[in-house]
Amino acid sequence: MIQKTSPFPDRLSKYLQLGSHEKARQEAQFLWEEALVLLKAANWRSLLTVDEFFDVFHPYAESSQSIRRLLRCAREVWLLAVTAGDGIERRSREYLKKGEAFRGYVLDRMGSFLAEEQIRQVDKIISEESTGKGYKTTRRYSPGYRDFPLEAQVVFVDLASCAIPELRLTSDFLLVPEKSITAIKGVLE
Amino acid sequence: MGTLHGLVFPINALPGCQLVKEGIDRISFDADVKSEAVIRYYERVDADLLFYFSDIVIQAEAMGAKIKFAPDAMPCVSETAQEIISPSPSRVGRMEVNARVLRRLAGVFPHKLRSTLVYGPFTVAGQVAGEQNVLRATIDNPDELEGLLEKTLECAIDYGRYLLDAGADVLWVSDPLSALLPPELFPRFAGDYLARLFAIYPGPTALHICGDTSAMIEGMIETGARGISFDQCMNLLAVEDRVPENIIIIGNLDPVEVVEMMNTEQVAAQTADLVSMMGIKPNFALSTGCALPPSTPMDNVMSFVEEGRSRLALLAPHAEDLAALAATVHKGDRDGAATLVKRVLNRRIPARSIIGSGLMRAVRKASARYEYRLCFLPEVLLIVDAFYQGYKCLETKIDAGREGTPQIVLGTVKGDFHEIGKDLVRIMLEANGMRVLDLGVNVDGARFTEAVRLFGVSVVGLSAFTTAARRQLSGIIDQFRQEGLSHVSILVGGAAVSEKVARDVGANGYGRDAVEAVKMIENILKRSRASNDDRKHPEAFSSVKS
Repeated sequence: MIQKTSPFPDRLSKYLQLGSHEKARQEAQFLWEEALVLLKAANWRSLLTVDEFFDVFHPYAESSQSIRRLLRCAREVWLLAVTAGDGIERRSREYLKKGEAFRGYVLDRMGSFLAEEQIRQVDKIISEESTGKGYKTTRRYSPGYRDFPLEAQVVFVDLASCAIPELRLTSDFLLVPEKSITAIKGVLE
Repeated sequence: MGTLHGLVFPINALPGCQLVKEGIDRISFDADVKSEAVIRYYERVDADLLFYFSDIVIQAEAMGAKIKFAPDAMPCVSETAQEIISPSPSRVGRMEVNARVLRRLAGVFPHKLRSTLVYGPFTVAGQVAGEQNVLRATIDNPDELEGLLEKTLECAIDYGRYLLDAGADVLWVSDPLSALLPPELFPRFAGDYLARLFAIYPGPTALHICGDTSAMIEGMIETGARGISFDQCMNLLAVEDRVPENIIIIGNLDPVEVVEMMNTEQVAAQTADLVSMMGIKPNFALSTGCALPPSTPMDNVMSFVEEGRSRLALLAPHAEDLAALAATVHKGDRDGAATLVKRVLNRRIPARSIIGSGLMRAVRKASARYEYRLCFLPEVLLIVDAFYQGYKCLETKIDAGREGTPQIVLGTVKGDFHEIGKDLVRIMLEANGMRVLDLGVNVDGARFTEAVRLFGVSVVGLSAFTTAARRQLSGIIDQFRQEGLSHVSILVGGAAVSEKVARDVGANGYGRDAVEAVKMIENILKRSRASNDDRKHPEAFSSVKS
């Protein structure tokens, strides 16, 4: 997991497309330190049987062909939710409002990177645990992918509220804080 | 550095044909008529470098190709050479005509530089043996092609020496066909021969290759030419760093779309813009991106030269300071930008020059580099930030600031609250001098159309980050059409949008990112201004000959 003191990851340079511009790299280092201070990471996961999953996600899951295909040979389904908190995105907006486009943009991308890093870590732990028990897993799949409707976010937010109380939805089912991700991951027979 | 630096001239002198009664066929053969045409031309067009009305096929003709002549068109190859001849220029009638014209130009304009116009060995090989044959031979039969190139090189060297002996000061070589060579083959079939051609003359030399030469700039420099003339399709800001300071960057106002097709005011404005960007470079010569067509209105050529010279003269005393400012902004140095703006203000450099040739130049250079895939978006944004820091120090010094009627309306569509992408577009537009009304996020069709009506705006940018927002786009665009606002250009962008989506929803364009969106909007506003100017000046195109 990324800690408050984590050094600037090599992958982040590529993710941000900083190129070789010296000043851009210096500024990004400063923003990384700021992002880590503002990071309010939280995550949650829960394991359901396939029947429980379709029950809890009624009617969104059974109406989705892509979900049915993903879970065709699954015995269980992990639910995942992570957030980087709202501090980074709020600071990013402040920068943009002040007309500081680089800082606003780069900090926003760092927020996305941190949220993605978290869910990758959770995903990795689940995969390793499953492998230890002799099971394979599916890839991660999130609401909004293909025909898995965004409305399914309602269920995630509801279930994850104990671990991530600040997770909310807009009227159009977008996650707030924006730097949050939800997903499912099947455990195969 | 060579004597080309700081000169102002259009390439060739073809519009001179309008100033004599005789047709181009007669001009091509008669030294008296050609001299009259070019002397009259340069009496009106006060260019710094003089050409003698050259046609591209003169060397091919001397080597045996058959040429078609007509009164109203430039000579062209009608049949490739049956047998390759090694000519002696003084015995080739039309080459001798050009030498005589050069001598007359020297007599009438003794203080001005005169140029040869020699065509490159690869181009002439294409004319005498067929362009497709020559291009194929680079793969199938390179040895035979090299034999032919030795002969076309010999002809080019003889013709070049002959013209230099006749009083030319500059060895100018054009090699348009070499633009079609794969960059890795350029040195072997074009560059090495051009190098041997340039080696005959220790004075100023220049190489012009038409089209996009971005992949062969280093090869062009290795020919030893002291000046590189760039086609109008090239963005000089994107390539300037690849040209050493001792090589002159020559270019590159569009000879057709601008100098031939626009009116004199528009030509002047485009010239001023080019000078504003490039005039601070010590190794820059203002020219056209290629030869002006024979039908170019004479007033437009004069407008180009006069405006260009006066703008360069205004900029010259401040060029060093403005270049330092542009370089500081380009480094993304916010504090340095502010400090330098204050310093140049103290030196009484006009605020408009500080913005155009200092601050905005850096932003446009960053955008150009981004377009050529030489940098990524964060670098552009860092430069935009430095621009703003410098601009803040100027806000009280400029009369017509950003306040005023908006030119563009932006917003994230209903159901979508993402603002970063839209904000970046706004910031980039403002940094490029455009006035923006930002309606914010979650904006419905009615608010967009109301804003457009209220301010008479002609460009709208719709941002959609989510798939739900993407579904709103066609409804909003339909609303514009239904409410009689079909003239409004609607651009879409955002993570949920692609070029295909843009087409499907009926948008006028798709901006992949902030830089591309700005370029598209700039072009729309430029076209819109041009069409407004044409309505004000209905005679604008009447002087253009078909």
